[in-house]
Amino acid sequence: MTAINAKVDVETTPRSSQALLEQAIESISDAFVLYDADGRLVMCNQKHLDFFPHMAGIYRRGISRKEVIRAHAEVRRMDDPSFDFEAYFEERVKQVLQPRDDCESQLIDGRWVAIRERMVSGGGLVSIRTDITEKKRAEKELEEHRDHLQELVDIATRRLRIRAENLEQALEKEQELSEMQRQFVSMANHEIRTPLAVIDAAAQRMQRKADRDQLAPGEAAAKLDTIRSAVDRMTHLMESTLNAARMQDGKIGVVIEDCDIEGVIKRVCKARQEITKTHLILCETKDLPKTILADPSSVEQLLNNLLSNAIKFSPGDPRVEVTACADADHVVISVRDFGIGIDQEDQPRIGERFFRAKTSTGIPGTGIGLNLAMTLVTMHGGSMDIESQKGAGSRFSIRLPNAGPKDLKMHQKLLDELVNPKAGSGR
Amino acid sequence: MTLILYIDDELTLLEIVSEELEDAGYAVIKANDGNEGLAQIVEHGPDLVLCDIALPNKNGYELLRDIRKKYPLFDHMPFIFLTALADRERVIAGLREGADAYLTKPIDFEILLATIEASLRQTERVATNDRDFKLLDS
Repeated sequence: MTAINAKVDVETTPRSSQALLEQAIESISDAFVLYDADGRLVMCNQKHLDFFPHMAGIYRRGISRKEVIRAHAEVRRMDDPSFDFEAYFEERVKQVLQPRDDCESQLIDGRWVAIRERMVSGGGLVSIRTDITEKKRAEKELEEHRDHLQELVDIATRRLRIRAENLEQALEKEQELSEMQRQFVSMANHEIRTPLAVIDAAAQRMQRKADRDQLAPGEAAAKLDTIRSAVDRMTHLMESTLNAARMQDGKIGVVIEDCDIEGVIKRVCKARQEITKTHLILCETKDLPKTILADPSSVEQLLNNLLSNAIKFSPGDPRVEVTACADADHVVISVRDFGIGIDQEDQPRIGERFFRAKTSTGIPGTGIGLNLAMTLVTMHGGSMDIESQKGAGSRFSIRLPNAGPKDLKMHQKLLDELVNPKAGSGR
Repeated sequence: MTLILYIDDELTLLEIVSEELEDAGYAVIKANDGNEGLAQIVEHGPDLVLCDIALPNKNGYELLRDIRKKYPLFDHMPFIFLTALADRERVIAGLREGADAYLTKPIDFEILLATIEASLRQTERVATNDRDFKLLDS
C-alpha cells in the first residue's frame, strides 16, 4: 500500500502538534481532505483514500486539485467510453471555485457519499465525505414500503367503495319493496272492503224491504246471487293472498297428478262467466291431450288470476278470449283482453311481486295475482309470455309441459326471484 | 225533487245503493268513472254528489279538485266520498281536499241517508242566508 507522506510523518514525529492534528483527523469517522490556497493537496485521511481505491497512487502531498479531477475523469472514461470527459472536467473545475455544500454523489462502485466542503481562512478548502450508502438504502426501502402501503390502501378503498355502492343499491331496492308492500296492504284493505260492501248492501236492502213487507221472492233470489258472487270474489282474493304468502315461506308446492286440462279450463271459464255481468268470455279448446301432468287446483288458480285481470283491465271492451291448443309436448293457453294494455317499459316487470303497471292507476289491485300465476307456471316447468299494446289490450300465454315439471333446478333461480325478490337484483 | 249523482265503478253496488236512495225519495243519476261523473255534473247540476275514490280515467280526488277549481257555480253542492279506502290518512286527506263528508264501505244505509240529509240541510241554511241578505239589501 502506498501511504502518503502525511501518514509517515505521523508515525515518526508523534509529539509534534502537526502529528497530533493528523492523528485526530485520521480518527474521525468521515473522509477528510485539505487543499491549500493554491489548490494543492495538504493532507487526507485513510478513509478518503478508501473511497477512491482506483486513485491509489494519485493522492500525494502537493498534487493539484485539477490533476486529481483529471485522474478521476480518466478512470471514469476507462469504465464508460461514452463518458463526456471534457464536460465533466470543465464542470468540476468550475466547481473547484465553489465549495459544494452538502451534496450527494454516487461513487463508481455504487456507494453513496455526502460531500460537505468549506473554505478555510487563508484560502484553502476542506472537503468531508460521509458514507450514506446505508442511509440511501434505508430511504429507498422506506419509499418502497410507503408505496406498497399506499397500494394496499388504494385497493382497500376501492373495495370499500364498491361495497358501499352495493349496499346503497340494496337499500334502495329494500325501500322500494317496503313501499310496494305498504301499498299492497293498503290495496288489500280496499280489495276486501269492496266485495264486503256489496254483500252488506245487498243484505241491508233485503232486510229493509222485508221490514216493509216489500221483498219479492225473485228479488231476494237475485240479491242472494249477488251476495254469493261477492263471497266467491273474496274467496279467490284470500286464496291468492294466502298462497302468495305461503309460497314466500316455502310452504307450498304443487301436487302433480293426471290433470284433465280441458275440463279445468272450461270449468274456470264457466264459473267466472257466472259471476261476471260486464264481459263475455269466449272459451275455445282444440286438440288438447286427454290429461297432462299438473296440479289441477294450481292451474285453476292461475287461470282465474289471468281471467280476473283480463276483465278488470278492460272496462271499455266486453270481450275476453280464452284459447287452448296443443303444441308438440306442451299445452298453450292464452287469455286475451281488449283493454288498457301495458306500457312497453313496464312489461318486463309485470310478474314482480307487488308491481303495478302505470296503466293500472285507478284500477284497484294488489300486485300479487300475476306474480302468483308466474310462480305456479314455473313450478309446473312451464313458461309465461306477454304480448301487450297500450290501449289495445293484452294477451297472456302460458305453456305447460304435458310431462309436468322435470328438473326444477333449472327454474329454481326464477322461482327464487319471483317468490323472494332480493335486494340488489339489478333491475 | 232532490237530485243525487252517484259515481262508482262497482256496478252491483251502484245498482243497490241507487235503489235505496230512490226508495228514500231522491232522484238518482249514475256514472261509472270520473270523466262521466264530471259530464253528468255539468249537464244536470245535481243537488248532491256521492262519489267513490278509486275510479278509472279520473279518480274521486281529481274530480273534486276539478269541480272546486273550475266550476264555482257548484260551490254549494255537497260532495260526499263513499269509498273502500278506509285508512285514517285517507279520511283526513279526503276531507281536507274539500269533501263535505267521508263515508267508508261497507256502508250502513241509515248512516248514508242521515249524512245526505245533514249535507242538504247545510245547503238549505246557506241558501236561506243568501236570501235573507238579499232582502236586507233591497
